[in-house]
Amino acid sequence: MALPMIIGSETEYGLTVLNDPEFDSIATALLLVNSYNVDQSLKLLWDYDQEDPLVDARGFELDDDYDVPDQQDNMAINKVLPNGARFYVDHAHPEFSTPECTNVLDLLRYEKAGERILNLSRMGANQVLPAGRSVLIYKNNSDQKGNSYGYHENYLMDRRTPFQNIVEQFTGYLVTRQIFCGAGKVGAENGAEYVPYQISQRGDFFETEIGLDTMVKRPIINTRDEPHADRDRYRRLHVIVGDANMSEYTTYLKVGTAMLVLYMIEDGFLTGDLELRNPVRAMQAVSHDPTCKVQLPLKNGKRMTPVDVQWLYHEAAQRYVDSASNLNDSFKAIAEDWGSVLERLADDPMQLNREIDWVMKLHLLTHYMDRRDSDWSDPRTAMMDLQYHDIRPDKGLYHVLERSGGARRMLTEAHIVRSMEDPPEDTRAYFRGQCLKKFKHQIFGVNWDSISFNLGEGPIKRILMEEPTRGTKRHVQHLLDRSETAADLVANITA
Amino acid sequence: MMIKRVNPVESTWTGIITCAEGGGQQQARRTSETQPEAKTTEAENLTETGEKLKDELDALIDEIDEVLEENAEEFVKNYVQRGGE
Repeated sequence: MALPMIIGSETEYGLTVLNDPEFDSIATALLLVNSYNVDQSLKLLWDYDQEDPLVDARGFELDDDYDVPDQQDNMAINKVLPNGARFYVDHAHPEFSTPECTNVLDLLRYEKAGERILNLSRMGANQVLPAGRSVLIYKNNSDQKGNSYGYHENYLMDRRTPFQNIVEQFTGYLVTRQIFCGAGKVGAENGAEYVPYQISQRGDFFETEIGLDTMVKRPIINTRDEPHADRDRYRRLHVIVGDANMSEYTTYLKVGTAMLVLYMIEDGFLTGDLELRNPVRAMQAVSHDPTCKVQLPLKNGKRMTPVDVQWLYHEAAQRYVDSASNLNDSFKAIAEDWGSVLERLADDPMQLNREIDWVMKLHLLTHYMDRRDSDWSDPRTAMMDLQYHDIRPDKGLYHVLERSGGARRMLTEAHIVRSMEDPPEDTRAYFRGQCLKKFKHQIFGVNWDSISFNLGEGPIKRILMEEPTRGTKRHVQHLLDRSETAADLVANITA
Repeated sequence: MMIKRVNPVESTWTGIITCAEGGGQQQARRTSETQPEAKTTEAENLTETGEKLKDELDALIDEIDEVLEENAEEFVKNYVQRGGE
């Protein structure tokens, strides 16, 4: 296995402007991204030169046009932050990518930092909008009108792992993990059969098992092959099926269990039949059943509930954490938490009304409907569905729950605040973040795997950072300490 | 607190709503998660906890009413997102 597994997430946020009849999402997203209190005089480019989103993991490259913004647009659209994160406009949405992390709690704190950064941007943007108008931002994946936007997870894997193994062994996990990862949604979309409430935001939108596209005919397994790292060693698995989560515990379990399953796939540890007969249909069936008892047909002829499919993975994971010698201890806790949640899901999912987003939301909605004599068709119910994801700490319903002690926490306030400013210390994000802090005005361009400096004379100097586990504090602090200027840095590196 | 099912695949939604009322026992777990349980009789415990939780829930619902977007119908209708991955 590739140790450690480098991970990260990208969140596209939903966006609207109150009292703006001609709301323009692209213009607003642009305003937002330029309203964060980062040095706005900073003029750096996102280096698209090395991007390859059309390369397919199955071994070919799509011959298509890939639009790259011109320099001026580039600078407006892309912000790279001193904590190593990327904050940018993706189509019509503001998007936040965490820096590269080695563990789930780091990913969690950077995601939460992202919410805070979006909120500060929102407040900054509101200051320049006409009176009466204000930006509203949602960390969710659906607009109830048939449009979905993504939350993507990234897991860096050993390239020697056959992609087919990932397709065969990861799909069943992804389809059934909705039972503890879904963010919940009122109603159904995209032609799916009506339900008053379902487990996930994204479940209705997946139409194929495997594919390159992320916007139409969405695939359960995305084949984008753009590692942003040494492509002889690494594959970046780009997972697009997940929901964005508000609950810290849900994110922890979502990403922690995914890492465990992928480690097992890398090590050839999963045996036995985990394949579903019809994953796309199963995805919807799982999401549409909040009792988590729907029978899913497997390829081997058996029928199992999503809880039972997860138990299969969990059983293997328990053996794996007990036997693997080089696995971090935190995975023992993850396996334990996973089992505890599965037990409660099997017994009665509503027991998880402090831990799992879809249950927390359902708990809120049903109590509200009961107390206020309302129902699923009431507009307030749909409004609560959306407002659960509102990132304003004083108005978002998740935050209301959290404030009243109704949400199980994994992080402290200090964790989150620190993550807004400082990069992780154990990946190349450290080098990127520190360069941004120290040499920002000499930086010409940035990408995940490179950073380029304009030293004022001579050509642009691009430093390649193909190895995500290098460029850590341990590797580069000494170099940074003895480099007062970017020119020093480049000289010291090339010496 | 079992959610009633009509058949193996569907669930009844009224079942979910009426179940929510009897949440006393489940929710008792909430408050005692980090504190040791006080030594009172079980009956006293449940009534007290039940009352307290009922009040907490009422307070929560009140707060939701305070912060919930007004003109919910129009707001939801106008919330459209295009161009998402």
